[in-house]
Amino acid sequence: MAQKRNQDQWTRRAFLKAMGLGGAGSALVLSGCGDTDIINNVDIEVRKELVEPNVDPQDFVRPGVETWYASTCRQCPAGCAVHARVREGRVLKLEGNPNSPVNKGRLCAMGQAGLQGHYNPDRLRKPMLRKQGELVEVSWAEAEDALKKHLGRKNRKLAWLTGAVSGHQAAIIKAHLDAAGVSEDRFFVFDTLPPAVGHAVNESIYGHMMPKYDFGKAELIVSFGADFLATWMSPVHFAAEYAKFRMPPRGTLVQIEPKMTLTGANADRWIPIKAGTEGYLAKALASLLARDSEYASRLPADVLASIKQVNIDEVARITGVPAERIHKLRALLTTKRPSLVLSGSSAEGTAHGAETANAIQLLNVMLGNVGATILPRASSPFPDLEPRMGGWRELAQLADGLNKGAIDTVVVYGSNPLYQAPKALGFEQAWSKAKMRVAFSMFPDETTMASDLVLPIHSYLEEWNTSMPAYAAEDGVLNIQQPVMNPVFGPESTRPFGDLVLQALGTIDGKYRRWKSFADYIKESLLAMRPALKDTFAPTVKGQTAEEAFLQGALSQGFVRIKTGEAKTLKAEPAVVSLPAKPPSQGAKFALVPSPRLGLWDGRHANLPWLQELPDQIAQVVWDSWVEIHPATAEKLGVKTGDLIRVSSKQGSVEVKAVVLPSVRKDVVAIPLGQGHTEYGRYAKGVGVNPYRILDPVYDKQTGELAVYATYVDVSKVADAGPLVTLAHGDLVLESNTSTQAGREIVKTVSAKQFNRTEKEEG
Amino acid sequence: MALKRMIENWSRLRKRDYYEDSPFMWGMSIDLNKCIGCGACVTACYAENNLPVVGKEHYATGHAMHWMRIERYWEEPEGETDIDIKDGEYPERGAHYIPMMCQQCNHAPCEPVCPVAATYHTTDHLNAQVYNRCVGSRYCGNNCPYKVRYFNFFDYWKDLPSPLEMQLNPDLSVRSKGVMEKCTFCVQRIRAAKDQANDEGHPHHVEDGAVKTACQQSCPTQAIVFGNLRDPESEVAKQWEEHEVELGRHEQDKSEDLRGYRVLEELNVEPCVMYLDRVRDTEA
Amino acid sequence: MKWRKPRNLIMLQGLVLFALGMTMVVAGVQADDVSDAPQPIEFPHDRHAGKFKINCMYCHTYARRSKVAGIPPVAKCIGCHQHLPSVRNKPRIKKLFAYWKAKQPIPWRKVHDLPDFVYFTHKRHVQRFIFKDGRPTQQVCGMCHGDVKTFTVGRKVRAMTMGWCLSCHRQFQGDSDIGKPKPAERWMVPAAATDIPVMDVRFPQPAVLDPEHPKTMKESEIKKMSEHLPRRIREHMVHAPHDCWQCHF
Repeated sequence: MAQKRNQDQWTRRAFLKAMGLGGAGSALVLSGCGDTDIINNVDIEVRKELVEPNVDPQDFVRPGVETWYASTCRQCPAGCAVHARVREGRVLKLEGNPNSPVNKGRLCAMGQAGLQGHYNPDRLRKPMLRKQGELVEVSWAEAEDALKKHLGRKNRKLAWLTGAVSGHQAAIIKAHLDAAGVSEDRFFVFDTLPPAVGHAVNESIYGHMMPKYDFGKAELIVSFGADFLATWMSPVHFAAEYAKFRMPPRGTLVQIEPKMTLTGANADRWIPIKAGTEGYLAKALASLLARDSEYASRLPADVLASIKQVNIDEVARITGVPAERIHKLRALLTTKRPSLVLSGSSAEGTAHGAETANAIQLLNVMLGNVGATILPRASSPFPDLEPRMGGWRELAQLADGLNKGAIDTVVVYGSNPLYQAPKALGFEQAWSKAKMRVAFSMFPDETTMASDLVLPIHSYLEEWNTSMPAYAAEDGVLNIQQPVMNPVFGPESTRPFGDLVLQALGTIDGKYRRWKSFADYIKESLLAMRPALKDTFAPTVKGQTAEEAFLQGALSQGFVRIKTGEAKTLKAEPAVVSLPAKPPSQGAKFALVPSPRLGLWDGRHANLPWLQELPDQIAQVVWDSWVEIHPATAEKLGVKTGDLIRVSSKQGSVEVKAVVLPSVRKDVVAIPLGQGHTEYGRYAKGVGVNPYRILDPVYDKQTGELAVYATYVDVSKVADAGPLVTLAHGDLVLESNTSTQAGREIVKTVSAKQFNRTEKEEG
Repeated sequence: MALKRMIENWSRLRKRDYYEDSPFMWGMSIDLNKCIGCGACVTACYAENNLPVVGKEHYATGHAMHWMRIERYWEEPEGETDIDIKDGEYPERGAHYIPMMCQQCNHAPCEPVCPVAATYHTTDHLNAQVYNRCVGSRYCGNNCPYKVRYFNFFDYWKDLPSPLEMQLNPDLSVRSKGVMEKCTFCVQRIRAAKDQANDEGHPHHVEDGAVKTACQQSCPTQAIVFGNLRDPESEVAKQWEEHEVELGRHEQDKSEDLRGYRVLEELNVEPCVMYLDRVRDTEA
Repeated sequence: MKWRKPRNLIMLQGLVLFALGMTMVVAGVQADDVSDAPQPIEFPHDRHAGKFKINCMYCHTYARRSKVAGIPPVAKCIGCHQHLPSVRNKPRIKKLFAYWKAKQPIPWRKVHDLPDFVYFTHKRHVQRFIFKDGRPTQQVCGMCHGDVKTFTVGRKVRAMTMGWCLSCHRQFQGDSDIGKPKPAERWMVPAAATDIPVMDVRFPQPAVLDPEHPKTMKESEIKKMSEHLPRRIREHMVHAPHDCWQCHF
């Protein structure tokens, strides 16, 4: 199905208007009643529109017939492989690539909405240069001169800031740093959702930052805030794993978090826990398990000693989880095995995030899950292509470099710190100190608009690239990204990111002038990698060279598999649990949960109308921000859904409408991430509020990551503001946030016991 | 008049299945044990079927055009006591999600009320909506018990800023102001698959899996199964049989242990969509 | 890239157009909305299809496998014409090579356009009549496009209204017809392949007479049910597949 190469350069939009593109304009007239012939004739046009043929299309390109191209989704770092449906030179639909081990043919809402980023009306179409303090549009010739001047030279004060990157893109950025004469530690990666703390703790316990999880094998998953169905590394992959996990005999999911995530909404038991106390619960569970020698024996003596003395009632008071529930959890952990214990953002984003994650992983070690459901990985022969992920610590390092004057030129790509960084971090001030800020960007986002040289780049559906998934479902998979159509705005408006970097590189180092484009660079690299790949592609057409056959095969598959070494066994060396005796007192304040959403993600998708109009999975609100408040709290504060609420931290306040929902703890308020843009085009700008802005600068000491879940706020009602815009269920539900099915059997539940009894195992 | 017509057509009207000879009856099965409520299907539907984004103001007035929506409930239907759902102040059993779209009823309440026969039943047992016949009376929408029909109050596509219109799917109409629309089970895909089957020389048999609706295709947990209920070998027909859900009933005579049900079946609208009960481990 | 011009007909526009249509009928003008803009190249179908008897599908290669018949790619024209030096200096061919040199598509003007809510596929028709029934290509294409071998540039010779579609489809309907081609006399006579617009098309009827129980009705059934209809309508009834979704979705 998937076709091979990009269409010929000349292949123009031909036959756009072949069929069905316009509106059902004359619907009323052609209602099929009465004497309609005359009108019908009037409506049909002759020689009014153009129908332009292709100039010299490839054989498989036929008007009216779809062609599928394999490529890679870049909407989040998960790296799902996609098939893009192309007709008449336009990409119309993205679907998962069924052969991909990451997403197995499926694609989430964000992946589907990639089209609207590609066709976004707010995409940058002209380079911009700051002149007398103002960004003004300039010609590409002028922009290229500026690019060469600032990036095409040795510069010891250069730094790159990117979002999660991998593959050859990461390789050329690194090459650029090398050529400019700066070390790799100036390659800063800032992305807020990948679990930086978790990665660091995994590295220290297991010797690998991201071991492989086998959901299908687990009988029980206990997740401390790991929202694996929505915002944790690879949503589509883990959703597929979840489906496997839920097949008979059905696994049990327990989710422990202060605010219900999508994963929590699908849990068999959702345990609301006081924000920032997950580590205490994990420690208590470890302590209960340690009474059994089987579990205790898996721990070194010093670690065991650190969890020995735990008073369960005290833990119940600290965490807000009843002692009885803690004992039941322990019983679940001992009966359902193997299990899998996960830690996620709400557990890790606390003042003792690394200690908390360590205490959580301790349970896996004690229960013998390491090697059973937590599996080792094989090392890749191409470390430069591996995904680079980073978090708040790297942003702080960049800010530090800027403040000290060690960095004066920043190149930013795929990262938007000016939107995400809390006010308290002072990143704006650091940013303003840079002499030259170069942004490679598709959109006028906050960081781009605060740069000095803005280079509009191709969308991921228009350019060549390779990438590796943030969470590799299978080791050594290198995704290939190829243009699925010609640039929407023509070749003179936007440029491929890789080409521009190569151009800068070529100015410093002549050897990079060898490649005319990043496409050539990638093709050559892929061909050079052939001996290291598992995949071989034999010629399918007579007269095809081995190289052609390989490229055709690799491009239609959409990815290649690299030969990896044997997976070494994981070590299992948890550190001593060193949580303070008590978490900081919250007093009468509320813990603020800045909750990420599958949809707007970290805010990067707020400019995609489909995702703005996709109701939040829990609150069902569209096109807005809101604050989630528990009904009991709401009653105490005299607040109802739709009231305008002021949420204030020490750093500032935001005003936002309330949604009264039972899915948050009584001592927690949650504001979703993603809105509150001050730039970013017509769909995002001025919609809602950004909770990141008011976070306190609290850091996890071990990793230096910002503790995103450690801000405590005051909440007060400002005004009656009227209802929020939510998904209305028509007649089925009287009001969208109601809990009731009004007695009608719309969704009914049966017990897992019955389910396991009556339903056969698949396959 | 009506009586005369009834007498004249008595034998025809008495038939339970009007198109019993048709080789196709498209149906669906949605497993709520697998559905996680993520909304991939909703967005896939927007992409496939040229659904307009109406914006905040229109959404607020109930003009949203999502052919598929995910409903979220916090509690069981009343009268259900076997699950301990109310054991706290928090929904400790999570949320209840259900994807809701046109159920392609075989006794569709929307059909007889249409004054211009713009909505009717096809021989494929699909509930058709013909935009160029529709005069916008909205009777059908009012008569739909599932509230899955959506009316174009405006020409939304006119507000689509360039180049977003380049994404529009040329395989189906872009609807204009004044017409009703709803889920079609991706009729354009069915049409393409039947065309394909015709080319292959078996016009009366479409291979199971040859048509995937956009929602089914995107579903990360593969909770949605779609196919021809008239083909006993199809996955969907097997699931219906396994869960003993039968057509032609307003109440199923089956084991309580089996999970299959049709929403609001008691209205005798004969939906072609079967849901499988949500499952929770009550011992956790 | 320009999107199709909106053609939303609100009531008023409808009325205006209706009036316009009436005027045209009175004035004896063909009611099509014909632009007099010339085609970029006065393409001689008469030479290609007439004199040299080139099969229609040689150039309109997509017709048998796509919804659209397609205008041939420029490369197709060049493929032959680069080997035909004898006509190389004719103005039309010079123009053609100018487009090719510039790698520009030729901006043809669309002659046959159906409303956007109409699903029509060339493939089905071509497969059925040419490949299954084995009729001559020019005759089959001529059913809708007229006697193209006598034209230079394409002209619209059929009304291409729903009633016109049905005027054929009612002869090819029902299960009995599948796999059993019925000789359709009217297509065999050259009259069908002239460029006189077919204006005597019987207008379409409400496809469903009994809205409560729409279905594909047998002829006898329809006859029985339609007895109460006025004669004028009865005589013009179309017995076609009464399934709007065949063509409108």
